[in-house]
Amino acid sequence: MKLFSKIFLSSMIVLSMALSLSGYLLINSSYKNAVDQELQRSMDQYQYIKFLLQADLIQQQEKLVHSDKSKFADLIYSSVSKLTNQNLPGFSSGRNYISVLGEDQTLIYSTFPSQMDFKISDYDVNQKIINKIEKIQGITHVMVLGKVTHKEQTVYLLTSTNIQSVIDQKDKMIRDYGTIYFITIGIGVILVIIFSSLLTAPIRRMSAAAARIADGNYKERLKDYSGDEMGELSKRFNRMAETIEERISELSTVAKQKEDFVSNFAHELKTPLTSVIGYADMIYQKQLSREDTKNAAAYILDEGLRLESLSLKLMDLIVLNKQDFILEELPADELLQNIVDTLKPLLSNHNVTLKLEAANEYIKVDYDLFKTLLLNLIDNAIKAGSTQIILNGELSHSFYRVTVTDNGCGIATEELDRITEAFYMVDKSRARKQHGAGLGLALASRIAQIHGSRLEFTSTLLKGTTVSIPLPLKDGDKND
Amino acid sequence: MVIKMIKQRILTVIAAAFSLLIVCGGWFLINELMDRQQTNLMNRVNSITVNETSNDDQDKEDETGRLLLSTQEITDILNVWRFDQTGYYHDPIDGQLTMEEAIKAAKSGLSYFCNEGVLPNQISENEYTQTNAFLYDIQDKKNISKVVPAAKRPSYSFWSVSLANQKVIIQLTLNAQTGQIWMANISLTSYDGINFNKVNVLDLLQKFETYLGLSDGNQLRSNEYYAAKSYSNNQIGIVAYKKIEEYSKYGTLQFSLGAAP
Repeated sequence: MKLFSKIFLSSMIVLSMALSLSGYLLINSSYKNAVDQELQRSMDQYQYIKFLLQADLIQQQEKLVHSDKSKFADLIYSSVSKLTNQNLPGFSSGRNYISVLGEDQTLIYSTFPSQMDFKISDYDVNQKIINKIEKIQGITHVMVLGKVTHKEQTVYLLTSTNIQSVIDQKDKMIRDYGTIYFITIGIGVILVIIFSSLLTAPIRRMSAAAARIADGNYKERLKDYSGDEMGELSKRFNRMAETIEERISELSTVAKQKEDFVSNFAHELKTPLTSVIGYADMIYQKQLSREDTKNAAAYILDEGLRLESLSLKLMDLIVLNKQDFILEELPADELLQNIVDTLKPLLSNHNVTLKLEAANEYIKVDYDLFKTLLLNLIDNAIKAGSTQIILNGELSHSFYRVTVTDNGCGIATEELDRITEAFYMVDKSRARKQHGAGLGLALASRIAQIHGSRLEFTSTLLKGTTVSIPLPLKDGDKND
Repeated sequence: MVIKMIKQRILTVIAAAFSLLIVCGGWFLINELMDRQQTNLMNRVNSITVNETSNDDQDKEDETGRLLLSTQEITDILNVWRFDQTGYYHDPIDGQLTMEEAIKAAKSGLSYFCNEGVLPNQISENEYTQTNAFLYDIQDKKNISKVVPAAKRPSYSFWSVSLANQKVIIQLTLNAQTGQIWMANISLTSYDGINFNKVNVLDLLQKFETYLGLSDGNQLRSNEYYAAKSYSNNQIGIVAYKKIEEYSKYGTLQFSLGAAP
């Protein structure tokens, strides 16, 4: 069920119940008060008639002989008929009724219609006056019954007071309230529809926006911010959409990188294999001179070495991605000196001078990985045609920053963002000549990540490149 | 998707139908509850016990056997009377005068004043063709919506006795316990030998004081037509007053016990 329907339904339930209950309580309270007042009025009227009757009997008591019941009945008859013909309100007009019965319930006087459900014998009126609401010929009356005793003679006095006006008033109130009820409900329906629409409008807009995002429009945002919970929800929705957009962008980049990786890998694999197959076929098919055979074999060897290098570095990358490494604290200056010592033959072969300046500090590294990282960077510097390399280790805020600076050919600024991608080569022909596979910096970057760091490049074409590795220190900022 | 939409629409229609049902149900609920209320009222039989026994056992009588109320009791009754003017008829309870006794006490009281010479003798000698008496209670007015039971305290009810013939109408208010006249209003309806020309309101006031058994009055104020006196630190008082119109043909005489004038 839609939220609108739920709001509408619940509002209608609450409105109807509230109106019904309040209407019932209001009408009922008013009706009960009116009935109670009418009961009181009826009792007063009964008592008034009783007093008039008794007073008349007292006045005429000299006519009464104690034991003469028929005389008493005549006296009663004369008194009551005199009363009804004189000043009793409603009795002469037939609105109200009066009846007097003897002790044996024989009728002495009555203005009641002959057909009547009310039976005196059903009620005990000894020491009591009773009242009851009854219908007489479809008109509601309050019947009051009691005994009148005078000089040891007793009669039953029954009076009825017309209270049909109270019933009519109640019925009118119910009818009027019915009109009010349905008009209020009608207005309520319109208001509930308006308010429900207003309340659910932001939700509908949000739903539509979510649908558009689901369809791939990640730039979709909600515009209106109200100050209520819906506004807060809109803000959070937009934040969620931004996060999704960022993640999707990242995933797209990763997917693109993977695609490039596979494409590059296939290309890097195909190039040496084409050469190997071509030279091998030439040796197999043709009668070559010793010199040509040696040259062909040299090509095959060269390309084979490149393939070996490629496979080894790929293995390294795979291992680096899957293995957890335990870093240990080592003195930075000794570590860097050790690496420089290892590189001495390579450097002398290429006539490159390496200058080391290292601050004394303990850094957390995996010795072999870190050595691989620096070897890759220095190897790249040599391949870039550098004649001088500076390896620097210094404290910088909460980092121990290792920097490799060369004076090689440098890298164009637009290339810097991609040089750590696998198989990316700035100068492919030069790289291939040097058995490069475009995986060295990708490896170095991954190793830096394992050490909680990253490679930071600054380079100027034809002037050289600086690679910086900020290694986080265990105790934070030592300089601070 | 289409099935989901159809399902949504069905649910919306059901919700609308349910709302309509609730609205109509609410209306039928009101009618049903009112019908039940009506049936309950029709089936209910209210009863009021009459001739209850009074709890007031500390009644005092004077040497003539007549009950007396203390000044404080009179003050209390008058205070209730002053603020609760609506009376409710009821049958006499134990400790209260019956109608016959009340009429007798009324006539006896009038005879007292006639015998003392402060009222014309014709007042007591006259034959009254119409006599009525009504007993009403002046307390328990908070329960106006309910049928009021008979008074619990006999002294808080009053007999209103009226005696009338073609010449004079007498309206007397008697305390239902003591039978004393607390208020009297005598009106002449035609000139037929009775007039109030010779009635001295000051004498009438003094006899009324004696009749009620009041003493230690102060602040007597009087003139030819009016006399008043207060008692109990001005908490209560008695007043006598006469009015004569059109060559003494019609006249009104009134004397009463009430709040201090």
